[in-house]
Amino acid sequence: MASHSLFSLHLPKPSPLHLLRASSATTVQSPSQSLEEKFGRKGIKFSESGDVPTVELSVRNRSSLRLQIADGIVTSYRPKVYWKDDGFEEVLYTIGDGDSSVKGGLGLVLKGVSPDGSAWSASKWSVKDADSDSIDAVQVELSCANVDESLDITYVVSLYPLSMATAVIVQNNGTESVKLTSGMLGHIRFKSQEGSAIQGLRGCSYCSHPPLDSSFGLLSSCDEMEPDPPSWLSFLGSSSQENVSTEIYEPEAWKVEDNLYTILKQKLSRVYAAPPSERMKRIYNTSPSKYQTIDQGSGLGFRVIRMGYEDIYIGSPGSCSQKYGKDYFICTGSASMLVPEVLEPGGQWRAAQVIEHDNL
Amino acid sequence: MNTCILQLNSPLSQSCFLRLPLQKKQNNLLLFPRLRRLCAADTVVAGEQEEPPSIDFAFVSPRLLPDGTPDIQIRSATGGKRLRDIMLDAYIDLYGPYDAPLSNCAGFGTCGTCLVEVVEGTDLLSPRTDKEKEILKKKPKTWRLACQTTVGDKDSRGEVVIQRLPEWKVIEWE
Repeated sequence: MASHSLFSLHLPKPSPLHLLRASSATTVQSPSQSLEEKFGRKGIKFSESGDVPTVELSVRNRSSLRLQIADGIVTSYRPKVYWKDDGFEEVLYTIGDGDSSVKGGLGLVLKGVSPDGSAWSASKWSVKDADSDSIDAVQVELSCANVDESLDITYVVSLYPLSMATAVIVQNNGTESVKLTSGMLGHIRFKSQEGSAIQGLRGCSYCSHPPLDSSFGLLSSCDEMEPDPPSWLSFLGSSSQENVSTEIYEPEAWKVEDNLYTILKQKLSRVYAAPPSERMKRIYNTSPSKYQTIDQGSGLGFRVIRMGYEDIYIGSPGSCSQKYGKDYFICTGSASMLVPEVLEPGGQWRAAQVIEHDNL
Repeated sequence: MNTCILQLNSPLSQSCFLRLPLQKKQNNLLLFPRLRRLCAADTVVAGEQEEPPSIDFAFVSPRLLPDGTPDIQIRSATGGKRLRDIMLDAYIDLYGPYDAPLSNCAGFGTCGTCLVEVVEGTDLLSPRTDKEKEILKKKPKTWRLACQTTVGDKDSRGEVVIQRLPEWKVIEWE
């Protein structure tokens, strides 16, 4: 268990207290009750919301995280961001309620192509392990296997007082190499469309690119919408094409981010990374390992740190967000989507993303 | 402070990480394979003749990434410029908390906030100036002021590894 976790807690495994049930042999336990008995700990609670088994992680400062087990989507992350008593803010944007049609949130997209050409994607998750030090760190491991069982996929979701971490470990137990495309895309909630931006990507190259296809993504259905009405600035006669609202996806057209802040008011969908053609060279400029979201409406900022992934995906819906609700959101996260990772037989690939904040 | 939970093993105390033996790849999977190529660059001469001369830089952040691996940014620049100009042009965080408009002397050599530690590539850098010797009297010999250090000249090739913000660093370099 500890050897699988990317963030090992070095704890002796506590012996679980089993609640002896006085029920007769004919009573059937619900799946979440059996999970609770097997994996439940202080800070880790398995339950069912609607029909869907979920697990709720919480730490001592009462920050909490809710994860749907079957599809591996984090539907809620509420850290403590203000010093007052009830100072929790929901970071993730989710629509749909506890049934199977939940979209948004933060999820792992992991797709692969086997050597025989068949495509698969990691979709059915089950709980493998849980760990907690009952004060400041809790962790749940989900696992999944692909069609012919040659890949062992572990998805670890951890919660800490000021951050949450998601990590994926893929072990190739088969005899052939596999190409993986993966990303940890999260929908971050913003109070205002006007004051939403990202800082920390200056000097990084980017290109327009659609997001990874996923079951929980909200941006892919924004494409058919009408383009945003051009902002009044474009009428001042600026000649640059960037004021045209819809970006045409041109994976070959790489630009370099000049601005200190990447404004997310209009619709855009970009991948910030070192261009694949650059990566073939002996040396190339690396993309930043962390970036920060800024929300002028609420005054909160969250830092996203990527490890193991090569690209950063940023997508914002523009006025399309009104289709979903009052709040604004963006879809962002670390990914390896431009160039697939090749995993040799017997090899292991790890990648992780941490969302942390220092608003306190 | 919460990142201490995420450290994998005992604190890193390694010699120049560029010389990490290849079998360490499993523990440090997130070190770019290009760093190994950077090591190999010493031995591969043929490739370098085709490219215009440039110097390879690796800037190491004082804090580790949450999984315990070093946070490195790689850049490539032509020589002949001051290290401060190279770092600012490449949007590398040189000043740290002193980045605000009047918090540093902007290259004059008097404030001592542009401290860096030179891990590799000292031979490419100009020697310490008198201003540096005065300000860095009590500091280790590998520490330099980025605004007073010139890196090579227009035709230099080589590698330079710089530890940013050495007062806050976590990795002990040999």
